[in-house]
Amino acid sequence: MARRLFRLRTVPGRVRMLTACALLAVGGLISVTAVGLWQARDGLRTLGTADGRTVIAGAGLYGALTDMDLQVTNVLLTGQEAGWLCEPEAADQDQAAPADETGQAPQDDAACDRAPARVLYEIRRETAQQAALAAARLADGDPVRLGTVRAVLDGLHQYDQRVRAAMELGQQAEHPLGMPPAAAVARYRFATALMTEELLPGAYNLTLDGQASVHAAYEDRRAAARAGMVQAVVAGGLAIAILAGLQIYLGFRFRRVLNPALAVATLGVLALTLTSGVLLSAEARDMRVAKVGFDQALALSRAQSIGTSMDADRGRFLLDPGNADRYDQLYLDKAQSILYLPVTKLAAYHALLGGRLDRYGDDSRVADFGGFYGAEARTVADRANGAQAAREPFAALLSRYGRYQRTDRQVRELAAAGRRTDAAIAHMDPDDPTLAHRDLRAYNDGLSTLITHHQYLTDRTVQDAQRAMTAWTWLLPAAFLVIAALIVAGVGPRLKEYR
Amino acid sequence: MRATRDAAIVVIAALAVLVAVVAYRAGDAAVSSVADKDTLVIGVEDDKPGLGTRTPAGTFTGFEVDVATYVAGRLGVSEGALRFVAIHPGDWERALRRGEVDLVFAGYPITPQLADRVTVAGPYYVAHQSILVRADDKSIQNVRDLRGKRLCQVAGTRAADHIIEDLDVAAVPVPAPSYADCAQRLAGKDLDAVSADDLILAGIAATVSDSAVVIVNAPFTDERYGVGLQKGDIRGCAAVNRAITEMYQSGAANTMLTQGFGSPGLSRVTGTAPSFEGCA
Repeated sequence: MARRLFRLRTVPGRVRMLTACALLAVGGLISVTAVGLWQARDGLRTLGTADGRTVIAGAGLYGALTDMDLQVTNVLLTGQEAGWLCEPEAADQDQAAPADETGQAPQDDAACDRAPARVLYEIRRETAQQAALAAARLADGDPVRLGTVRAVLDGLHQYDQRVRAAMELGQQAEHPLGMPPAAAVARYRFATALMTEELLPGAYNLTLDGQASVHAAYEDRRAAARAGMVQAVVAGGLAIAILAGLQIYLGFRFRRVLNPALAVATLGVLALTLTSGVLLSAEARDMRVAKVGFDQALALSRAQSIGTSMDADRGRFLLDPGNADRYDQLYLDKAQSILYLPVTKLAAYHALLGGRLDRYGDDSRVADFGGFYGAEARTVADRANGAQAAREPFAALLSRYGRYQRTDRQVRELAAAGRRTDAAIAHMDPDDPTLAHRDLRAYNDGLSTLITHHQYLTDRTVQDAQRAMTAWTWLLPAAFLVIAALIVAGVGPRLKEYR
Repeated sequence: MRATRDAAIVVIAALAVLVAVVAYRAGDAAVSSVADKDTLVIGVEDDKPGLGTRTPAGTFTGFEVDVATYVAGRLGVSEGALRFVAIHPGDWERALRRGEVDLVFAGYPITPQLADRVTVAGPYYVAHQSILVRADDKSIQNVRDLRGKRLCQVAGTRAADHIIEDLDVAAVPVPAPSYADCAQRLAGKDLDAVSADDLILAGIAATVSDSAVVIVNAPFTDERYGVGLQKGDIRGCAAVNRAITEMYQSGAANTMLTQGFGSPGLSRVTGTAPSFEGCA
């Protein structure tokens, strides 16, 4: 059959052969474009909706745990143990019966106010549990990762108990602000060891694992989209060459100058090839933009959690003077990972920070610091292209970080002067001593805004890119049909001459 | 006419091959990864008792060798296909860059600058700087008690500087060529204290007879020992981190530490790997 169809020694056989090759090449062009677009779409979906979202949710695990750690530390430091241990629901139930008889709520000593820190702790604990489930989903059956999730969930329960033990010991003895009894501190150390050596590392590594999965999927899809671009250009070039060959052959054999249908088909293929190339390279670019935004959001949310953990280290520094040097060092290590400066002492860090931040404020091209914020400054500079407005939110965030560190210096000066109670008061919010310091909260709010901004940009890029692609699901097959029809229309009449 | 036809077929075939090659190359990764290798060259230390030392037979032994062997095993490289080489702190970035070693396990704390120059997996262990004193000396309970004490200062290390300069503790530095030498002089009462990472202290404590020295249980830093890989080997880095996670989950890390040191004063090792640096 094929032999009869493509009898290459005859003129119609050769024409049929070239026509089939041209149709195949056009089909190839359409297929590689479609596959490239599909890959790009899948990559964008991973970043914008599917795994990307889950990774961000998983990062919430680390954030929630650092927050729980901070609440516990501050409660013990400021002597709110009674409010922490208060169980209003349980008290309500006990009093329910007598309240009905008299029609009035009894003024009982058992009625208590639960500390706001405890309420926050419970909320964050719930977040942690939800986020652990998100991490488990992302682990996709990987036993090593699931092992880490399980360890975190088990540890969470144990942590509750250890915290409770520390709080009960703290409540038993009246103690001045900033100086809980040694027995409570010992219990607290036990709880902190679990938090800082097991829960937090596990949570942190789960986020890294999730990010690595997204990164691998992104690299894979982006490489595929770029390969699709090259393949489309090659297939398109091949189709054009064959159509040109057919045109010349027909002109030579049938003594015609131009076959109009074939010429239009050739132009159509040329246009399609260029469009495919441009489209696929645009998709690859959009994927990169979305990935940068995703990485930024994740890096900043990590920086936020590290900042919270740093504040807890300062609380520990005040709470547990026996280990003050270690907590001091941990504080510095965390500050360095957020914003790196070439110093080895906290005092030197404080001294250098202001000047470096001012220099960045004056000229965004000078970001002479490293760490998460060094990387963010580079990305902002890349994106802003010198535009002052584009770097404004980040500059504002840096000044809030600077303010937080200035407060830290004051707290440490009080502690160094032996004024432990004053230092503990300075560590907490001046307006409401049950809350973390307002500089920390302002700094965290600034970070949250920036994180949301990056996530919004990523989501918008993904949605725009996906919308741009939807039309191609029917445009590509339609283009194939039109071009194929033109080719057949151009060749058909010539073949008829041989019947 | 036949020649034309043959030429056309050759051209079409050549173009088809080109398409295939381009498609294949575009999907190919650029950096070779330790995750794919059948043999590995691993840089370890040779002058830290307990961590990494060379035996008289010329082989290497110690905690870092054990960890490296475990991790390599998880990467699918058996013990027989491993080659250990001694590496010194100043050399190993260059050695990695030149491809003379594939992995480095050499007690190197992860710093932000380091992470810029090589890809860092791990840490495989978080060491804490601690203090080694004579067992009968009760006057030193934490780092602040080192004021006025004679503190060993080993050439090329920062441990004593950290105490004297960063923490402003006015200890009296006494220069020494090596930690082993410090331990001997401590036992001989020529010194009052040696400060270094807990694993180093546990290692040298074992070289002094009759448990004459002990580690003070008051660690004051976190030193995160990282694994060096060639810059850009993200996949290898992820594979090493996974192996380290398994090492902790399975309890192998704990076994290695107990067998290698078994000394009191070491921090408890949990079933959770330390916070990783991340393979960016």
